[in-house]
Amino acid sequence: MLRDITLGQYYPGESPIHKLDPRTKILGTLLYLISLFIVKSFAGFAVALLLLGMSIKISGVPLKFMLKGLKTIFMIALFTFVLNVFMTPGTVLWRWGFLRVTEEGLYNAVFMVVRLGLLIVGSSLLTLATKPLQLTDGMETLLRPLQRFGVPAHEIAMMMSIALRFIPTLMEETDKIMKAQMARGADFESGNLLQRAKSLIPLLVPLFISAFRIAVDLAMAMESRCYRGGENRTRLHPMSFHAGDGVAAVILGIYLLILVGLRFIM
Amino acid sequence: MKKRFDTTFVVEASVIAAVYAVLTFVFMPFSYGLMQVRVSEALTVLPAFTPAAVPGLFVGCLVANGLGPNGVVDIVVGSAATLIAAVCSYRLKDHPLLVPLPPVLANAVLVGWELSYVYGMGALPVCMAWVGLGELISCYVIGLPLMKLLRKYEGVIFKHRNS
Amino acid sequence: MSYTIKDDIIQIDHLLFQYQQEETKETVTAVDDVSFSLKRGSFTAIIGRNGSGKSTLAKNLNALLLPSGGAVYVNGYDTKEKDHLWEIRQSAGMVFQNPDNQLVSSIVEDDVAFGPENLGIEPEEIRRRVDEALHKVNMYQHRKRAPHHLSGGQKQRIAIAGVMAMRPECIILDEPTAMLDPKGRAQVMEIVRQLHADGITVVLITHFMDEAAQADRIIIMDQGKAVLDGTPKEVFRHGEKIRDLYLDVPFAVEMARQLRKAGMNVPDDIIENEELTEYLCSSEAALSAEDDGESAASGETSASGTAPGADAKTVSDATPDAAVLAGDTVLEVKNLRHVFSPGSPFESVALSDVSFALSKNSFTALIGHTGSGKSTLIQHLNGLLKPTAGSVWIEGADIAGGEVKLRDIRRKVGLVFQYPEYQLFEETVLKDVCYGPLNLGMSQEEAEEKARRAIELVGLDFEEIKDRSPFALSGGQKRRVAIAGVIAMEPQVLILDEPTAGLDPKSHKDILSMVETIKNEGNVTILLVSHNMGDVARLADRVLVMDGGRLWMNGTPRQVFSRESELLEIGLGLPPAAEFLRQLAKNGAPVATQALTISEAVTAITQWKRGESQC
Ligand SMILES: Nc1ncnc2c1ncn2[C@@H]1O[C@H](COP(=O)(O)OP(=O)(O)OP(=O)(O)O)[C@@H](O)[C@H]1O
Ligand SMILES: Nc1ncnc2c1ncn2[C@@H]1O[C@H](COP(=O)(O)OP(=O)(O)OP(=O)(O)O)[C@@H](O)[C@H]1O
Ligand SMILES: [Mg+2]
Ligand SMILES: [Mg+2]
Repeated sequence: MLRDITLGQYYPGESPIHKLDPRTKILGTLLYLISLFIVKSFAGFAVALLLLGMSIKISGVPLKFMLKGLKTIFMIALFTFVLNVFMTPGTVLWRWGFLRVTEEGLYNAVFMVVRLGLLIVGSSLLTLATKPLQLTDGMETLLRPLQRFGVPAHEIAMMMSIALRFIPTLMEETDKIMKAQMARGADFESGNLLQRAKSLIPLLVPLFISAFRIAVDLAMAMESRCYRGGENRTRLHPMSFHAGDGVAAVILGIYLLILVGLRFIM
Repeated sequence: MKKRFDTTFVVEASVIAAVYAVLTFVFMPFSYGLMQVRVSEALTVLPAFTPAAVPGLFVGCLVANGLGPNGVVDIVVGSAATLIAAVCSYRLKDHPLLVPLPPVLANAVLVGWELSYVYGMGALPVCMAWVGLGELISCYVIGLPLMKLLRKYEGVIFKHRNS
Repeated sequence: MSYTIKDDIIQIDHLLFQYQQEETKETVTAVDDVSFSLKRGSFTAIIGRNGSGKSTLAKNLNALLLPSGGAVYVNGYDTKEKDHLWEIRQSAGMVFQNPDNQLVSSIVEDDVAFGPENLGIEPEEIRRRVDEALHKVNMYQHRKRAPHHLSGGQKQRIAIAGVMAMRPECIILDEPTAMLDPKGRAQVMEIVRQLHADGITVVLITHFMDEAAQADRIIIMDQGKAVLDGTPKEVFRHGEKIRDLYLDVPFAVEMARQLRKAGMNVPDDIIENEELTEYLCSSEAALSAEDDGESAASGETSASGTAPGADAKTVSDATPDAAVLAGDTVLEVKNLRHVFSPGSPFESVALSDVSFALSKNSFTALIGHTGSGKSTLIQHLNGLLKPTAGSVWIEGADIAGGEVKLRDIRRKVGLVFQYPEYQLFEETVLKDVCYGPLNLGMSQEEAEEKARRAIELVGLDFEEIKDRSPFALSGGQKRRVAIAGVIAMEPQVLILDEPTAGLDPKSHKDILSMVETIKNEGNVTILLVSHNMGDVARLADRVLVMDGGRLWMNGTPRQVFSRESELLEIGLGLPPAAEFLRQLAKNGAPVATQALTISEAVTAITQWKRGESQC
């Protein structure tokens, strides 16, 4: 079984990127993603690529490790490319039977694929260099101002961290239940869609019962340890910005200025 | 209204999220990729049983996408669709046949838009139909029977809901 | 509020607690008019069988549940007063049974910090408390790890640290060792003793009498009432009454009772092995004059309350291998090897070069410490896991060979997982038990017929239980139903992975005698995974010992348990009776030490004493 699934894509390290405050990384990533949509030229993408390449280099995450997680994305990118190359009307460059490649199509295809690549790699750097639990903490703090408007920031973060805690437990439970039912002759692998859906029932019912048993036990355990929501709660590791976060902010600012500048020049 | 998020509610939502993520990973083969029939999406019928499923499914989707390799775009759009759908399903809880409908529509529209606009995977209506079809299978073919079944076990599984 | 007495941390005053059943609107009285108080710094054990109200009582002690009648005072505060809720919970911390379901965070130190964080304590102070608590439970070096990488015993110690970090004055542990293996159990009990020595008030709920005997006070609950209350010596003197409540007594108490039956003058206030050893080695211990060999022997047979059939088995021990060779082999494992996640950084060799055979109608036990590969091994025997190398043969056919269908293998080899009741899913008991037979392609009638036989074989009343929901049964009944679900497939080999885990002493015995019935009446070959050496010695005619993925030994119980020091080295122990005799021998008693069961030990001791009186 995938025992360490809850680390997600995380690549352990001590790089300056790893050490940034999670809030910086979340906001930075979001800005970066948005920036990709204001770019209208390849020059802009070149700048974006430069920033991303630099960050990856600093983060110390091996390129091979990064690309390993992106296999399915590669398929999608290929599909996007082919679709755009052949389906965009315009000046025909090359024709073979009913297939034709247009200039606009080629441009579109390259443009889309480059943007998609930057989007995906850019956002996966966040999960590669930040532990899921830190992301959760970062999100909670970022959303806290919205609590006034009824956004349950603390609760959502709490749910995420408890979910992360119990995914391995329930994963093991799922494995056990499946094996136990297989020992009683169950078959989860063959049959048509309907049969398969039906065969899932002996798995899903015990899984739900287990999950809700956990819920009852855990709620009890949390209350006995004085849990009473997010108010007045302190943390073992309070978050704090450091010099690195300042540097990151400045770099990001310069990057955004360049992109906006490019947009007006070209 | 202060007690909307009591401990039991938070914890129930959390385990629903965990189950969602687990099913996403265990049945990986048919969940990531071009046509998404996610077994985990069958859980979108849960709001009919407990309101904790609304944040639960949202967080589950957030976590499952966050741990998967597809990056932040999926996280934002997919989770938003799930949240909107879960709220609607909860509202529709007295009309069993309609409960699985919101996730089909919300995903078709939002994720369809994402595929078309962000991923450049073809015309908007085609993408929407494509996503909608996968979702229709998860929600109606697996979800609806699951809902019927859970009704029978309501007392066993969700018995602590009000205590 | 005025109820405060300085010496008592907890006062319970005519506590009544009733659960309201939602669907049926019935009320269940779980705690019924209980009154007692707990002195500061005391160590109290609460015992009682499943459903006697122990957990309910415990939850009333820190306001997780509020009394339906009467009152509970913690540090003088009435638990019904909302104002002091957090002080009460902070001063009376609680540790629960399931090590997994009470840890909140996926990092150990964050989990320990959870309580102090909720109390709003400053980060530096939290840090100090977390480190201190982790040192106390000996888990500091694991502070950055994830709970799912820890063993049950380690998780339970983290849970204790999480409570300790709140600096409670009292700690209530609800069956903290029920789901642990012997090693984890010993570690947790060590911590509990430590806490008590540090002056913390300890309340320990347990099914293990040897743990309860370590307390300075024992309260026995039955049907919601506190029926016995006193020091261990006082309480365990009521041996008969305790047995009437379907509970056990500590080993030394039982041993002493059997010795008395055999005509020895053993006092009835002995509860610990050390005391009994000391007493037996002293000159006071002697066989009563009029006693002779005959009555000692009859004592032995009547003493088999815990050991039915033990003696029949010892006879065949003389020629162990002949017995095995004579029987036909049903199942054979050849050079089995299993590697998890080969080629990845997480690669781990779980089994290597394991070979053995099970002969028809034998009763084999599989022992080994946690992580030694027992579960991995048994999952190969019905094809749930595929060997990395080597093979498994059933009735002369290689199950990976392709010519046998997986379905046939599943029918021939039944596998009952740990906590099998967690796999029940159908609406009625009958439907659930029929699931297996129907999967094998049997007709409805045929399946129901098999289900009836299986349900009767596990000792349940078919007509009474068939239409009930499996979820409405008691813990022991659920487990029987789950086992019936496997037996209904009429396997020739039945494998059970710790079938008695988490049950009270009575259900424990019942399940084991059920296994023997299945073996004898159903002509089934049994492979039992167990951590309980007493059970193994009593029941098995063959023992497989696993260590680090290898089959360390394959022999009769007598052969295996004669290698005491090596067993200790691989994290296993001896049956209590054997251990006791060795203790005696170490103290200089010239006693034969090969006995494995209580009745054999009685014989050995009476022989020694008789020899003594003759010279
Ligand atoms: N949530 C609940 N709703 C209704 N009845 C309950 C509930 N919890 C426990 N009971 C009932 O209350 C009684 C006492 O249960 P309790 O859990 O306190 O027993 P226990 O002594 O801790 O048993 P065990 O050894 O199995 O842990 C039992 O009859 C049980 O069925
Ligand atoms: N799915 C898995 N993936 C990777 N490693 C595993 C897996 N299952 C078990 N292991 C490892 O294989 C070894 C043997 O585990 P196994 O569960 O067979 O032990 P066990 O003897 O049954 O222990 P216990 O007494 O705790 O049940 C352990 O080191 C364990 O960590
Ligand atoms: Mg209990
Ligand atoms: Mg095991």
